[in-house]
Amino acid sequence: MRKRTLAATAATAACGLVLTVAGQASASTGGVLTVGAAGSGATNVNVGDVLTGPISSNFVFTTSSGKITCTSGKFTATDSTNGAVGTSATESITQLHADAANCTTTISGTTSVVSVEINGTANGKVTDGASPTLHVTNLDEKVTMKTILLTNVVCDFGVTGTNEIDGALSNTTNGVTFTSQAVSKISGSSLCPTTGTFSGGIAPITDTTQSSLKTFVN
Amino acid sequence: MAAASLFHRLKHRAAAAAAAAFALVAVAASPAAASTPQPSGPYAGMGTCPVASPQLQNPNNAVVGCVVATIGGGGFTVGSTKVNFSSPMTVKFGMYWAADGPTVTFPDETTAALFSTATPTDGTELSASPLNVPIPGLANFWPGVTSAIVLIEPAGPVTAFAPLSAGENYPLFKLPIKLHLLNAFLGLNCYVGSTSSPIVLSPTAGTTSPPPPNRPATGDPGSIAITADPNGYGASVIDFAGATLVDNALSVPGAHGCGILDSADWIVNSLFGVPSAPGHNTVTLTGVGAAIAVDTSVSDLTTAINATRK
Repeated sequence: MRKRTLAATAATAACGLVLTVAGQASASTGGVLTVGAAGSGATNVNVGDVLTGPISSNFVFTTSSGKITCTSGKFTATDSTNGAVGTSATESITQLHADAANCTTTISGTTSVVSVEINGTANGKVTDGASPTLHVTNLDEKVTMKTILLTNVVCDFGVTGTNEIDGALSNTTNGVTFTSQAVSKISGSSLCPTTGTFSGGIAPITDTTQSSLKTFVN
Repeated sequence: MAAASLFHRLKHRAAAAAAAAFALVAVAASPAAASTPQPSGPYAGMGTCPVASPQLQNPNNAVVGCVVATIGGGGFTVGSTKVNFSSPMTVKFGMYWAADGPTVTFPDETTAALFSTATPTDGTELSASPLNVPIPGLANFWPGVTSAIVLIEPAGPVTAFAPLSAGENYPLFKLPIKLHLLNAFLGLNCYVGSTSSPIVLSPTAGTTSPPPPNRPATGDPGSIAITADPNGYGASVIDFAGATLVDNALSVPGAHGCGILDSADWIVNSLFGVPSAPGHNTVTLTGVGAAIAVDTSVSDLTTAINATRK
């Protein structure tokens, strides 16, 4: 009888603890990333939240042998950490997709874009402050293009090691803008340009886990 | 007296055979006379492209093209013999591929079309200067007598031409050849390799996977540039430059036709170390450049080439 009471008490306490933790998570504030509004009172983006946004300004990959331009597409990331203001948040970028039908290429030897997808996942780190920035590392963007020989060439562009591309975060657009960020060929045919720059914007970025509220950086 | 007479006869025979060998070489190496205006600019050297051939005119073709490739240097090691290419070689042919033609897909998911080829209008697919190959164990003081003059001759058309495989671990093409050995004592029909049993070169700008004792060797795709037709036609020209191609997995058959009734075949085999199994031979082609004019329409390609004739 005593054992049963203890067990029931423990179970009740455990449930209460779980509810308390969950409640704190959904209502926590003061993080680098928040939803709905900026500021110390705004609700945090939670670990595991899925953030997504459309291409808002053209993705343009410029090289010495031409450029690839895409006017529509989608960004998706999952929040991994969300530190207190003054620190950083991290996310796993799982999608950096462009709609091939809305892409063009002037890269020598290519005639059209077949697909633009992230290869694996990239790492994102949000730093706040006066110039909030999304630092992207381990980015491998796989671009498949139709060639003048009617077959496909696949070029992987991105950054490896400690190299990164940086995007400026904005609470006005709730998005990120990359401007002439250096990327290089990771793998692919000799038809693939070896270096280039990437520009483009994604906005608004919303938290689909929290009613698709717009995200803010503090 | 008899020995002197025999020496005298042999000397004359050697001289006659050497002269015949050099005459043959001279004929083989002499360029065809240019009687009509030749293509220029990006199509230079493509005057013998077989654009009117049934192969390139086939309406099922999705892509057609003309190829002029030069090989600046390199060499080969066959068995125990090592020879450097002393002067450039030129390879010319037409190419065609049907939309449902063969392709190869690489690990990075790039796909390359495998083109079939057509012989140039003058029949000269491969132009190579003769090589003076010393005979092992002999001081070479009399080329053609104390050495073998070797002509590299095609033994069939180029096949499986995959220009977009440059940089992949895959052969850019397969080129069957035979080595024509000219020597005073070997006669005029001494060959290593034949049309039915050729030496097949399968060089890559990537990395080879030979059987031992050879080890993987890596080529270099060099640079690639693609330009549109200068006169606005639909053709494009792919230019490769500075590439290095390697093949060290090829096999080399034995000699045949050497000496009277093939009596010297065994000597050639013994001296040069042939036949030689894969893993014991290497061909390296350096300074490789190629101009490849491609178009989806053979009539457009023909017009584009003709528009540059001067």
